[in-house]
Amino acid sequence: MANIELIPGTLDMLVLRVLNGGSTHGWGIAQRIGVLSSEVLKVEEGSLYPALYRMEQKGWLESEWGQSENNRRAKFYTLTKAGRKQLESEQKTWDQLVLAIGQVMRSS
Amino acid sequence: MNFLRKITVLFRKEKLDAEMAEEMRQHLERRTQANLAAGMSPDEARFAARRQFGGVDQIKEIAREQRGMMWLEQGGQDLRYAFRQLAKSPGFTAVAVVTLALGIGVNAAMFGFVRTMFLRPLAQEKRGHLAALYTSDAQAAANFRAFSFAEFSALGEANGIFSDLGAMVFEHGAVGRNDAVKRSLLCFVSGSYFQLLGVQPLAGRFFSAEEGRPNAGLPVAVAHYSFWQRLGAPADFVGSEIQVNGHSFTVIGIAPAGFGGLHASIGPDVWLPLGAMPRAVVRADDLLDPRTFRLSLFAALQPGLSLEAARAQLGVLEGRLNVLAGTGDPRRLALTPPPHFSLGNNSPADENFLAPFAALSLGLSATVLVVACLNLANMLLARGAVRQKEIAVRLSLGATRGRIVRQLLVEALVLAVIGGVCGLLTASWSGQLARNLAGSFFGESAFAFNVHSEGIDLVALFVTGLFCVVATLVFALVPALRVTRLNLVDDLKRQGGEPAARGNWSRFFSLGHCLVMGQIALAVMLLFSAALFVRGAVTAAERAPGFTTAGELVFNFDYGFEGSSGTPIARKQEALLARALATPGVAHAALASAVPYNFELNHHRVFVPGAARSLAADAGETDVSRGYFQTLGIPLLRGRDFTASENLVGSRPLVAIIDDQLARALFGSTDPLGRNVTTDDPAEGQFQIIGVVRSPHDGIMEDAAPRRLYRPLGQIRRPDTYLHVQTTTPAAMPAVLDRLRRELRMADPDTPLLLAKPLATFVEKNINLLLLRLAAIAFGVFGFISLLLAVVGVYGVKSYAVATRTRELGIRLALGARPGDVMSLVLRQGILQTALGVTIGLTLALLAGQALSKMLYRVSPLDPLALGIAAGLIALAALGACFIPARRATKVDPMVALRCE
Repeated sequence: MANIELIPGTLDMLVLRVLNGGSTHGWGIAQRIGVLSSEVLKVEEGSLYPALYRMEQKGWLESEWGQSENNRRAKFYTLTKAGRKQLESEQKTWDQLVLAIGQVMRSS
Repeated sequence: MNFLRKITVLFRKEKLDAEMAEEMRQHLERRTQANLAAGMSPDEARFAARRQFGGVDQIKEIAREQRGMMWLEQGGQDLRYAFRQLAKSPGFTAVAVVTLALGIGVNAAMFGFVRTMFLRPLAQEKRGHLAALYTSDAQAAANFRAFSFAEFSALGEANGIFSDLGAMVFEHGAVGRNDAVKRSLLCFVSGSYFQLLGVQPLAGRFFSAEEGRPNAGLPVAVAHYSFWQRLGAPADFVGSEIQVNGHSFTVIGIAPAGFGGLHASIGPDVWLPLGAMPRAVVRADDLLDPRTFRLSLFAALQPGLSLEAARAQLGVLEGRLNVLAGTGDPRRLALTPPPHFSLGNNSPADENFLAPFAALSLGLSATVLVVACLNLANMLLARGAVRQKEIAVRLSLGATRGRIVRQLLVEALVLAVIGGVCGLLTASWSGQLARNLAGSFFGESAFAFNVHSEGIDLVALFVTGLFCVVATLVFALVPALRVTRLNLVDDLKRQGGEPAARGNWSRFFSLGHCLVMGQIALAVMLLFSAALFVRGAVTAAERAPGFTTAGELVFNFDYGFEGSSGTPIARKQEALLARALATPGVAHAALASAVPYNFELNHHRVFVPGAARSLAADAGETDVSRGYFQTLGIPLLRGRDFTASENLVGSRPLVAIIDDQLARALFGSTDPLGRNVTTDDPAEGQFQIIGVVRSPHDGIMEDAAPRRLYRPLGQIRRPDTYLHVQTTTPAAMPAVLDRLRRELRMADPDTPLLLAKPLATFVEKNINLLLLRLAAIAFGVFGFISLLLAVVGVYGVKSYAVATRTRELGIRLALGARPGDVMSLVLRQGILQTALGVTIGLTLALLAGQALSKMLYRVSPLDPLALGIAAGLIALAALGACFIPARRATKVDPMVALRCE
């Protein structure tokens, strides 16, 4: 399947979703988005970082330097309580959006 | 919390940047390795990783901006850049700063002046509940008189209207320390006075209730701040002795700077307690006599009570007054806001002119600031146009429009702040200048001028500074938005600063030209106002005062200063007059209790006995010796002058001379000679009228001279005496002045001579004339500043227009246009614009004239000379400013013009 550009504004939600499954580093997040979307969604990897910093500033994420699986120093991002709440609300909005758009598109 | 984090981020910038770089480097490395593992060549792997990642530096920049506080960092950059830009064009910067400094300086000074004169309630926070109290005859509402002490006590007893009541009496007296004695204004006050006005002493204390009691006779005084300053601000002033009319008084306190009592512009040099009146004033009335009506009253209203509500309840107090009066003289009370300017007046003063005057002064000085801002906007606009290419380059390199607009605004702000600082220096300097000027004028005046000199007013500073910053930013915003709204490709292609082709009309009404036309219009209005003030001052000064000033000398003595013992004052006055008449060079001489144009305090209500109480008129009383009218050249219309015997104490009948206006007011067309009049002081009895004179003027503001009553000086025994001398020729004045001064000293070394000068100086240094002249000078300066600014504006815009049309003009010349054609092309536009600006300006001027003619003496709002001068001056200057660039246009060499592009 061909790659699809991300819908603007959804990157934050994806990152929060990935981190909900456990803390990881930037590279890991990009990989997980690829894997979870069966390599359909391609994140422009650079834009991931400003998004991470932004969310950290908003208090949704926390970061810490640590050792990665292949023994490199890497910055690990963890979801905070506020982040989990944010994820829930974005999830809800998203579900409604998908449902609504689906209804419109399938109507005859 | 969030904000704190942002702040800490600012200080951890280096560390954060390093961490970010490290994180991104690792990401790229992993991607490269993943690509290698996928079978790419090393180069290919690295390149693909970068492509997938995106622009590393751009991403870093985005991330940095997200950190917040970026504006602070960029603000620093903008500031540095602004300073570099301004330093690069010192000419522009200097003109802009001077423009702003003038605008701000003028406004700060004017605002400070208006604030001290009109706005600042001198009895600061309490003024809201302060009111002045007047009493009139219940039958004749216009018959006002002052209060007696008994009335003051009755009104001050607990009631639901006043929480406190104060009383004051103004008197003239000789005040001084050691040998330096001067005639001054004294104010006798009740013990409640200072507390009521809500002031705290700068040093020492104020009066006690005991000291204010009538006839208490405690010799204590409170000094005006400026009086203390004039004496050199001695540190041991409180507790030291001063002389008032020859008696020692102990200074117990100094009033705070700027406090001059209830009135805005003038105040007494010293305050004395009411109880000290008999001691300090020779012919003091006995305040305990219920028929002595001397006190002016003012009150603090009960908290929460409005003036209207208080007026509605005055009936209770009127009842108290009527009990005191018995049945004979029912009184009515009137309550008004405290007066700003009128002293010693027993009737409510009409001060409605104040608000428009203050508004007008501020309005006209604000106009100067507007002109300055227009000028600045024009300069910024022209500068923006020149920098269009630079800005286009920056936009195309990725700077956002917001960033560039912000940076241009920062530049304007830097200008505004520098201009503001210079403006305040100008203001404090010009304020100092004005004070020195006022000081030199008022040095000999008999009162303290309340404009104090403890530097510039902080509120004035703040208001002007704020206004200036806002104005600059607004005026900078328009050019900034304009120059950043452009078509990139066009501007990069185009050569330096040539505007896109536009039609004639849009060029005529381009922003720059509109600004210049606005400046021209405002300058016309200001110059017209200045011309009106000058006209007002000149007509006022030229008006025949109704008496002679040529060859007239005035000597002021104050026998009160010697104390009341020894030879009777009348005897001394006779001797003085005889000596003056015997002096060579003296044609006539006479004595009087007051000098025209010198702040008359002695007003009376004059009645005709037997006639209705409503038949009464206010008149200023002057007590004069025989020969007064002859000496001053005041024409005697009917009857005769006083005789020598009428000048003696106890001579009967009592006689008076009145002026034609008082005669008309009291007797209409019937003959006043031989009729009797009384004053509001019933103890004085009736006077028979023996003569009628033509009224002399006493000031310049009023259209008609005040009505007058003259009585023989010898009968009154007034200690303060003015000797009028008419010299044989005006040229003899200096010699006679010296000779007479010397002779008087020789005859009696203790002669209390306070001043000796030509009568003309009283007229010329009259406070109203002075204010009028100051206003004429101020508006003249405003007018010329705005004229200057308008000329600079016209020149700048025209030069710029010619410069940007160089190519077009070159082509015209190359195609055979004669230099004259090119010149008229440029000039025609300038002439039309000037004409339009002047027309608008004349309309504004007529509006300003309407307002001014209400305040100025005999000034027509349509004064053709003033209009002509204002319009002509501006038109000439503006055309001159157009002419130079127009000439430059004819000098364009077609070849150079075409090649240089």
